Amino acid sequence: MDDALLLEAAVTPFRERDQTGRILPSPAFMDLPPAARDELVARQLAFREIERAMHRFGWSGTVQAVMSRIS
Amino acid sequence: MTEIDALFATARSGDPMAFAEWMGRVERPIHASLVRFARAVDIEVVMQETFLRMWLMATRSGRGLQGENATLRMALAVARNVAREELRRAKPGRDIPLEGMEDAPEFAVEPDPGPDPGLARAIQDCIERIPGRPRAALELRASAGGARPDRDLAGQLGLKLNTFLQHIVRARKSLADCLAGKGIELAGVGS
Repeated sequence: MDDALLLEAAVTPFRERDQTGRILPSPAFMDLPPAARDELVARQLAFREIERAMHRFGWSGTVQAVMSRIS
Repeated sequence: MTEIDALFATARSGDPMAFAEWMGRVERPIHASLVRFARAVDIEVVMQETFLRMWLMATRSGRGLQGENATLRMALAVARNVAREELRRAKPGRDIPLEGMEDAPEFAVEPDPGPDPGLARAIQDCIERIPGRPRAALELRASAGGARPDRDLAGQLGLKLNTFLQHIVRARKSLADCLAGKGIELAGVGS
């Protein structure tokens, strides 16, 4: 997968968990070179905004992911 | 008591909706505070773990927080600690200078003013103009709310993962062009 697709793959708020429940870094993030990780921050922020716009309560994907764990 | 601290106080009674609203109000400043760690740790991990710890603090701890925007300041401290934990787990290499990250200067972080209905409407309008598969991919991922991996979402659309991601990249670019036409520049959406 090239860097452009790795970046997009790391944008999702979905994160795997290990057997202890620890949230694991995205495999795509681990494969990204450092400079691309700076770009990832901006892309994540933009996608969180898109998620807020599309959610009936205005929740970002991060908020939705946490809410699925606590409620 | 500030608005965000009042939301957190309501969450203390076990109200997850108030907690969700509180998260929405502190999410951007917490994210901004973590940018200095971005080359070494997955900020999304830090964000979710920080919120889970704050939920435990809200619902299982009787500890009171004092001062203006105390809950935001506590969340920033928790996020910093989680980021440091992730830093210790991170494997140095690929020219990532881990040493300087913890020493980077703190900066003032203000609470979020709240939702921007105008921006949300503009995004919704522009998404409706994105054609075909790119729009379907973008909408499916945005509506998944972090509950499903992209591979599953791609399968639902009958696509391979790479193709699904390429459609999202195209959708982002269409969205950026449309927003630019409305005079809105959303950093990161079209890059």
